[in-house]
Amino acid sequence: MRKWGVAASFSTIFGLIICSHLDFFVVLAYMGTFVILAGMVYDH
Amino acid sequence: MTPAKLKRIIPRLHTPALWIFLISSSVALFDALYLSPSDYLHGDLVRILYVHVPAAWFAVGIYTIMGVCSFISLVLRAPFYSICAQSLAVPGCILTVICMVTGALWGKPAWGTWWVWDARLTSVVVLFFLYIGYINFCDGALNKAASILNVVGLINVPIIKWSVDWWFTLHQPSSFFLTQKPAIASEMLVPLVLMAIAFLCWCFAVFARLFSINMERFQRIHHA
Repeated sequence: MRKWGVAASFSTIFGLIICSHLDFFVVLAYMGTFVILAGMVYDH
Repeated sequence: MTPAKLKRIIPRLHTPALWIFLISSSVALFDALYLSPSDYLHGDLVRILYVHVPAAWFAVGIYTIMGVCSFISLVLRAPFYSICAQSLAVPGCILTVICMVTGALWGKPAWGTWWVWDARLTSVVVLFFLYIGYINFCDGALNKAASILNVVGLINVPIIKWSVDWWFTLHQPSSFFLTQKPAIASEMLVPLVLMAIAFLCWCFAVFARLFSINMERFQRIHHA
């Protein structure tokens, strides 16, 4: 349950970033940041 | 609150902090990417600052808290504070990397360069090396060399804070002051504060997890 909840939350986060259709640099900055934050949450 | 009490409470706060991070970051992202207005000069590029600025705040803030913990652990020889500092080092270092990378992604289109050796950027690189040095020296509780490096490195904190006032830098001066109103529009202040709350919860969630791992390792070594 917890695993699916976290996965759904991160899907929402990445969905929000991708669907924003903003400048490449903005999407790259947000994607990079949240991939690192998600990676740390997943790792621990 | 005593260290013995905190030892029991901190690991229990991991899951609530994680959920608050997930919810607040979704709300913050929606505000930062969809609701907040574009800047009149930089357009949508200004949205990078909603992750860059909180990352910078917490990178410096965590280092300062680590320095205080290291100082107390050196004076009192209390492993609890040393373990707190160790558990904060990794999230602090990651936020420093996020701060530098998002700063470079802002710098290329806004300044025309990924990097300049100005006082603010250089002092943040020094902070990054201080984190790397600290993590490298860590080999268990009461690691004296790491704690001394951490305390000595505190001298870099005011340099980072006031570098934009003391020297002429390409990096803009601070928009937040202790005694005055922030020099930023309220529509832009809201996503910034929401993102800061999300980053704070992420820091606490990772810290709580690392704290329980480090404390367990310490107790295993010392009770073996």
